[in-house]
Amino acid sequence: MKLAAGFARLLATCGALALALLPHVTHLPAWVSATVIGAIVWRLAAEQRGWALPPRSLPATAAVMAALAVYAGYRTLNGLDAGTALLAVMAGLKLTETRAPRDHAVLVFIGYFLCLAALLYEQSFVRLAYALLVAWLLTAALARVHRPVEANTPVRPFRLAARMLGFGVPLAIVLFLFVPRIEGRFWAVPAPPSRHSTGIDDQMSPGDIAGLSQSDEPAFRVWFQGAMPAPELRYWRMLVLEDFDGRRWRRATSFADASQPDVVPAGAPYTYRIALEPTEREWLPGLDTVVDWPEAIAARGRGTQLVYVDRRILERRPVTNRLTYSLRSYPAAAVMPSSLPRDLTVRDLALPPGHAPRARAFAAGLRAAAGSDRAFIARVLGTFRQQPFSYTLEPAPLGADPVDDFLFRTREGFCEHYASAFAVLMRAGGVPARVVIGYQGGELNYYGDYLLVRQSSAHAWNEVWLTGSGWTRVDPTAAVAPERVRRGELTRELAGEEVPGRLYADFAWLRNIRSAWDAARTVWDDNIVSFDPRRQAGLLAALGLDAQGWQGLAIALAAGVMLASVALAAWLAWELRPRRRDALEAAWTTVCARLARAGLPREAAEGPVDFGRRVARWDPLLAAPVSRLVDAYVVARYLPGATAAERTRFLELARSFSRLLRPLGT
Amino acid sequence: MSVPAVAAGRWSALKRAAGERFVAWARRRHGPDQGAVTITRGRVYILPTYLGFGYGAMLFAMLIAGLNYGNNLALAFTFLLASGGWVAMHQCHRNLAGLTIAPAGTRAPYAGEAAEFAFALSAPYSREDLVLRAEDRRAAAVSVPGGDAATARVQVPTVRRGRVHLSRLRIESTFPLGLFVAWTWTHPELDCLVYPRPAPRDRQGPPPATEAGAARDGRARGEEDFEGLRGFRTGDPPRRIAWKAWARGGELVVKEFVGAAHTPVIFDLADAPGADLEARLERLARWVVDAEERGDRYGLRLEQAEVPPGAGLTHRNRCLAQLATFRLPADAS
Repeated sequence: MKLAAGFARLLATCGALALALLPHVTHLPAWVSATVIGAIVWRLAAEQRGWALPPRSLPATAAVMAALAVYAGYRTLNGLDAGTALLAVMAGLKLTETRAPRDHAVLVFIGYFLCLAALLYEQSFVRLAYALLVAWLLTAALARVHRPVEANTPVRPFRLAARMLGFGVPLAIVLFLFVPRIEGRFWAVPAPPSRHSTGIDDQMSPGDIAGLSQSDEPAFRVWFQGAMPAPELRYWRMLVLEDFDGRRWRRATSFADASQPDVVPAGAPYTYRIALEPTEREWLPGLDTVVDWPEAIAARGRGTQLVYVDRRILERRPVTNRLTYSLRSYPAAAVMPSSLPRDLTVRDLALPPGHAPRARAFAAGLRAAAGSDRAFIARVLGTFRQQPFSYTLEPAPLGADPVDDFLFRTREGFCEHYASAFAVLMRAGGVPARVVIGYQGGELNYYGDYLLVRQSSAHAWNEVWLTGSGWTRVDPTAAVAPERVRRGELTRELAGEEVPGRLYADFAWLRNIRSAWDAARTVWDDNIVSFDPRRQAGLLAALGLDAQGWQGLAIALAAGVMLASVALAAWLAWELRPRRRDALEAAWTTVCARLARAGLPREAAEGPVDFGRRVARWDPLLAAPVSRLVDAYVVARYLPGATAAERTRFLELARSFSRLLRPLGT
Repeated sequence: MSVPAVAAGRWSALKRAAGERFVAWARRRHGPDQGAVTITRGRVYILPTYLGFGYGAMLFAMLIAGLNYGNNLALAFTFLLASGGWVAMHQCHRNLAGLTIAPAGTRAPYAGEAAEFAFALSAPYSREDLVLRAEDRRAAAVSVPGGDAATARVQVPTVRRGRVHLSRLRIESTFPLGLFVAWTWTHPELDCLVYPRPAPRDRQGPPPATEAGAARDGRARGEEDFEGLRGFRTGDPPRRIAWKAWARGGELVVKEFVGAAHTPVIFDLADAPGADLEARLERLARWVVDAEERGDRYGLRLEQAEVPPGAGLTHRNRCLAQLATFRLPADAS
């Protein structure tokens, strides 16, 4: 069935637009997607059935209403989510009044923007490939609309668009490499809410980390210079929580003493590089205990700073893009072994008044029975080990006094329950204690030789201050579920529950594929997604250009654009080279060559008519076909205003004539 | 008139004046054009269309978004679209440069209809979507196959008989996406005759044959008795063509008759009724056209000028041409 030209144009535009919208369907409000799909279906039907389109003023009114509806939904029109929703609605409304090529162009532009937004949401290779595919279809739709109807075959617009974009690739690469990047943002935009769910927050209440550990998303990747630490040393500190209100642990709000803590490095250091996935938060993970960062990285001035009071690592701005930084850690270092400042002693012994009376009494009893702080810690951990404490991702809900409830009633929970209860017991027994949250574990990727730490490795543990050795890490979860620490993540399997993702663990080859995929993704992220001013400078230096000022970039950009222009000119010259032999002449030459092989070569000065007569005399069987052929050739070649049908007729005759000659010639 | 309307009027007048100066400048640059003109690169002008400016604005917004989010893939996407536009610009320019354009005849209209100027476009490689414009009249887009030629016809409206002059032709193309328009001008300086519009038919009809044209030739072709068939010659009236024979797949042949010999008619300006010269010429045009349709032999006398009797389209056009150019007022061309 041949489509009407108007319908074909509309179908091309609508199809490309629908594909551009597809990546957004998951996060757009349902009414937005429904509006667009409905508009597409209605407009196509209207074209097919010849329904009247609404007057121009109606969609304009509807557009204002839709903008208000989007504003009501998001409380803003700024930012990615609201902007995408607004674009999608506008596309739907524009569609209802789409008549002229200009209307199609607006739709195509909206489609381009939707592709761009899809990339702002996710920077994966697959996403880029998809966006490019859709951009190709959109461009083809634009070409179809802007060319005369009779100039378009079904395929021609697609080929035009493919050429246009394909031959733009060299220049696009040049621009990508040498257009200067800027640090920071021109204006503040609300972060996509989808990102808030991943990453560690600066407070902890029961259930927070359990929720996080359901996520299979990568948190960060680590490359080590030299040896990797053993699995039980892979504690990635992020934040220290010291203020406790009975249920929730929070970051200390004031630092009375911001002096540099007394860190005594000991044992072998580990030097490593971390590539952190965006967290929208300022704090960064580092292997316990971070001592410093190698000079080369400090000189880069990335803005990373250690906050010494609780040894957090902070970035100046929330991490909105993938961030790479290098650190050096001493797992055996001692922190503040000599003395603890007075205000810290007070803070790290504080308990909310009237809270957890049973736990306090229990701790006091244990402390009295134990001779020392260390023996006290051992007894508390022994309690966790010997009493029927169990590990589960879905513990029974806790009552008004969560610590007592957990310790003496439910006795089931997750790392945060144990860390919280342990810190309370320690403080009740007079040992300064605090909660540390971060990640524990990391799986080795053989293909990329790095450790991948997933969100499911999120963990909470404790630090207690002991005279002589300072802040010491204690992981009460290890007492209950040693496997948790050894394997580096708490899985449902470990907790003795149903495992939906069991396949991954059970089949080595599946694990391998997953590793290879992650390694490929890492190479992509490292080289494309995190291409930044620093890498740009490195590239310029490799080209022997001044990497500091703007001149180097300007020279590289100008030279690159010139090279790309030369390449394009060469391609155009080749593609549009003069074609002297047209199809008619080529077909005629083929026929003559066949006849020559059969024993009747054409004389140099012999025209087609004379030659045809000679062929007819030579073999009377050929007389009729050759006269038809010569007539068609003369008409197609020499008759002014010969039609395409006449040309085609000759080409067909030439083909069948050549077939006729085959048995003759051999 | 409101202030903005005045301003808009001045602005459009300013724009028109600037356009005219640009055209005049281009004409001095190009030099005189005669016969076939090959459009060199230096003659091709190119600018973004409104759509192209819109595309540029879109790319700028995308660039800002990509930089603001520090998102490299968004930037890569933007750069690819920008490069695509850049390729389209080059394709648009190449689509015009190197094209050869040659006058390929005119078709004279009756006054009030559009005159048609034909041009043969040829190029060593294929061209697409070329549009010819003459005085705001846009011809249908044509494509030229590589190494071949195509004909484009541009129409110019006419008002009265005489000549219509085509001094400037604009050739443009927005291939491939409509983001850019490349154009050039040629100055073919072509004339096309405009025949007088035949007056409406009336009951009176032309005057009877005069003696002056009554010299009979031996075998005057009449319509009474079928004599035989002969090959088609340009100018034979269509109603004499043996369509049935042609439909059977034969050649185009014309039926010949022998009959009562016709006395050739000479249409004289002096005999033609009418209020003024134009009306009388229109009357004559009507007689000529009708006589030709009937297959009569006829001639024409306009004061001293005379067209001897004859028949056929060529003869008719010769007569109409005489009528078109007879005592042409100076401003009619």
